[in-house]
Amino acid sequence: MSAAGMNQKLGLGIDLGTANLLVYLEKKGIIFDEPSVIAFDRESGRIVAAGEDAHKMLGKVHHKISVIKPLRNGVISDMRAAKALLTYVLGKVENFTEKSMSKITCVICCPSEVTKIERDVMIDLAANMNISDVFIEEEIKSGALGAGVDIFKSKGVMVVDIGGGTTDVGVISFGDIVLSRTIRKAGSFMDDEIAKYVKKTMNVEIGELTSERAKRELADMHQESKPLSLKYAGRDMVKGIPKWVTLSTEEVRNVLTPAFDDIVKLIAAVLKDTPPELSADIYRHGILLTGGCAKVRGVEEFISNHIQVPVHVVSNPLTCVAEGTKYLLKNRGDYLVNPLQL
Amino acid sequence: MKDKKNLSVGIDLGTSNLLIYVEGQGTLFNEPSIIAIDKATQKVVSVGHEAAKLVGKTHDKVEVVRPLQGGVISDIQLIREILLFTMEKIFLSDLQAISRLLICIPSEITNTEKEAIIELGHSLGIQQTEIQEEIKAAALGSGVDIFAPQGHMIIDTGGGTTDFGILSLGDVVLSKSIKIAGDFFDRQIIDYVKTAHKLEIGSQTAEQIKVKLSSLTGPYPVDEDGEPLIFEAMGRDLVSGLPRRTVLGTEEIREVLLNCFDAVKSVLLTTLEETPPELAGDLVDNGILITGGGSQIPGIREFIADTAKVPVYLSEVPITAVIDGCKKMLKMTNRHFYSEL
Amino acid sequence: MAFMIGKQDKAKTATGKNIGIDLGTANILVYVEGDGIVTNEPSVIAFDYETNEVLATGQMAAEMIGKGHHGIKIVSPLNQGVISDIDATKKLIEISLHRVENINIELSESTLLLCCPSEVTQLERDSFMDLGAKLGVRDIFIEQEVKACAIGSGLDIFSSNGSMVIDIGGGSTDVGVLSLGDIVVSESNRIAGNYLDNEIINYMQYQHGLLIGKKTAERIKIEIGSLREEIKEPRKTFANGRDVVTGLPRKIFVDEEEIRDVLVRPFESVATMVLKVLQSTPAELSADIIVNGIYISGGGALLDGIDEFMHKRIGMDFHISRRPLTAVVDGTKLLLKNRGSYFVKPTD
Repeated sequence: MSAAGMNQKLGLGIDLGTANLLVYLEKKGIIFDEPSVIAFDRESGRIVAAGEDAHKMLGKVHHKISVIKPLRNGVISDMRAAKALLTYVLGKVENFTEKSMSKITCVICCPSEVTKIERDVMIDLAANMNISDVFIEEEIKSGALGAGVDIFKSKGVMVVDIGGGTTDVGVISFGDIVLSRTIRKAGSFMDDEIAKYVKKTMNVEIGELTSERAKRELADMHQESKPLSLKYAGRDMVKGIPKWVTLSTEEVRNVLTPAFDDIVKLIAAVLKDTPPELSADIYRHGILLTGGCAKVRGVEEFISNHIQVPVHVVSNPLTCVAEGTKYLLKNRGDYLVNPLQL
Repeated sequence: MKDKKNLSVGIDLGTSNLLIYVEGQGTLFNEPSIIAIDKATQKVVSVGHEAAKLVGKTHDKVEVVRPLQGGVISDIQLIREILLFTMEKIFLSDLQAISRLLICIPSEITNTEKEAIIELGHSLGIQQTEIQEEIKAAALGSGVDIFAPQGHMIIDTGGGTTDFGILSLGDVVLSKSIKIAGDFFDRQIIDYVKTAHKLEIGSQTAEQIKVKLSSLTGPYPVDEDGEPLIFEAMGRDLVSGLPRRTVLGTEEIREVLLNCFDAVKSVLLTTLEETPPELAGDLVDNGILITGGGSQIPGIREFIADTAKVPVYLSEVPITAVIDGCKKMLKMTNRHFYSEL
Repeated sequence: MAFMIGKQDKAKTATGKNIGIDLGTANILVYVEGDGIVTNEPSVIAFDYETNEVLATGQMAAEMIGKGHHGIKIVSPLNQGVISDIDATKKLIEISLHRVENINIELSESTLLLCCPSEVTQLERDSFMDLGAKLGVRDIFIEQEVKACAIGSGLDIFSSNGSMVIDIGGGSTDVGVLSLGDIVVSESNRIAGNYLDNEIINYMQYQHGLLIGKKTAERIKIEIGSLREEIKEPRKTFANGRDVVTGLPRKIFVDEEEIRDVLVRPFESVATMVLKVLQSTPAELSADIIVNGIYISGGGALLDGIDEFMHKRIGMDFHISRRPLTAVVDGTKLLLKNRGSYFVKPTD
């Protein structure tokens, strides 16, 4: 692949997040940053809404609409919906036609530990969209690049990406991943835990959007956080009628602690397997935290308290993976080419 | 045909009286519905007042008949004869001038009889012949707005029958008729005088007694000096067969009438019981209207009011109510007056 | 004098219009785009029994109920919200449209929207389409009343914010939860205006020994109907009817408290139906409902204290629609613009 050949193709970077889909298009930047949700009319199959609009429909639809989240735990679970979503996103770009698809180089970011089949499905997705030139990269690598870290130095960098479907922990050095692990406990799991808690202790069923909002508004992992209580509405499971419940930051912290404990365990496990020279780098420079859940208040304190390593949340935890694809497209993931210097 | 004048004619075929109204000319005939016929030739001898005078006073060669006795048409041919006779008297053979004929008949007439009467009209050369129930005409003629969606009750007590009718929206909702009326009272008076005074009197005398001495409730009728009314009746002694007179008082006649009115009371109550509730409800405010000759009986208003427990009114035109109603109906071009479509 | 819509009656300027009709059991309302609500009358039509000529429609015909004789046939062609006599319904609509002054409507070029109750069978729906065909309209579509009712009550049913509405009409009561432009859950039952009238008739018969007609029962319901628990100064009204025992006409007085007691029982069933709908509502929409409250529309919304009654039994906030009697037909205005598609939120 000559540099000239690559320049004729347009670069497309996709962060296929379980919670949010971000798409980067060369020369245009990030063209899409919205929830990975798509809604169809059941009868005609027509797309009714995608992204934010479709997200708002979760738990609120009537029988004519079906709302689908094409990604689960970081991987594609509904190919048709995923394709429809991406096609929709690309369709919104000016002057972007069917023909343009064949001139695309595409990088898709995926969680660190995925099976071969799951990888193949992603390549299929691109193929379904007539994109023949596609390669897959790990999210944490893209995330680090997008956060502005020069991973091409021979210095160990640890990235913890707590996303929607998965939490990835990895060590990067000299332009590539040294080791990485994934657990499927992340944002969605935390939302579910909150909903389960409300169900169990208050006998009230709350919707997805509500538990997500509760997490966003009340999650605070600081040891001593400002006490805050907020009201949320759901459905009484006994009487079946709407009911208010009150949740406090303390309750939410208690609910989320087991999940964060698991994340901490994962980090510890990865550290254990890290070659000593690199662990030294990490102990010195700290762990980089990215992904949506990096924004949970007090999460750095929580992790660093348990690991005894400084933790830093990057400045762009939600978009760094997508922004990183810009560079990956330049070097096609080749560790010898430092795209930051291109 | 050039002379065809387009007259509308209304006829009240009452059991006691026959009335004929001609639009633009008024009520031209108002006489008893009695016909006197020569038995041999079956030819009409006299009709109306003339014939009435012959009641109880003729020989065998002449038959005096009341063809509408008891509210039924006993002989349609006789009716025809009466009508022809009287119409010719009025119109002098110019029957073609009549373009519309409206005949009011008692309620309990069968369909066959109805058809026969319409046929009668046709045979007189009048194509547009219609029939209406007397009770409807009586209500209209007495000033009741029968076309409103409001229930009204009418009691028409005449000579042959007493009719009860519930009217609403321009027509009869239900009606009942009994042969307890003027004629019946006369017969009861005759029976009473026979039994109590041992005197046989004629129906004309009985009628005079009825007219002078009747009352149903309240104070007994008195004369100008405040003295109780009495009547000297002339008749034939039952035993000896000789002419004799006897004196009758108002109390006796009240007794007789009250007995007759038991049946009236009973049918009144039955009629009310069968009235649809919404219309019965209207009666609480609209009350009952009494028309016909019997409405003149002193105390009848209180008597009916006491039985039905609703307001009771007397028609201001009891004798001509039906024909007055006919007049109004002749003016209507639309069957259901209130229809605005 | 037969009534006909003769072509010769219409001026040559007849045009097609968009028409929305609320074919209620009790009242028929017709909206014509550009002209507003042109008809708002009882769904009653009176015929001459023999000739089948139309004698009266609407208010005039309604006044005849219970007062007719055998020469008049009084028909309420909508029975519990569905068409029971299609020819009478057709005439009713034709006459209503024809009666409007200054508007010449060419039905064959018009679009007609008919609102029907939620629980109708396919056959009943088909009869609505037949009706349109008989009227000569080629472009007909049907919508559920509950949807039109919610829109007419001022609710934005096109957002993802769920709304809930109870429409208490003459023949049926419909309850619906709506979101994203369509119905998510709905139910209906026959406990509505006519049922309540019958309950009042039964009460008068068994408690007061008085037989009353439907119109009287309706009048009592409208004048002193209430669901309030505590009535400070009970209103009274009169009732004329026929004594059960004596058969004589009788007038009595009834007060608000007695009628309240009569109405409470059927409304418990309505509350139960509301609960049932809530129980089938997805949690996220339940959350919206508890925030937005539930709207009551239709004639029944005018019963004094109905919001208090429902609130006591269900616990949510209840609001009375601002124009409960015309909500459905008001809603057709919007639905005519978007043809009932939930995709498109019509802009005014």
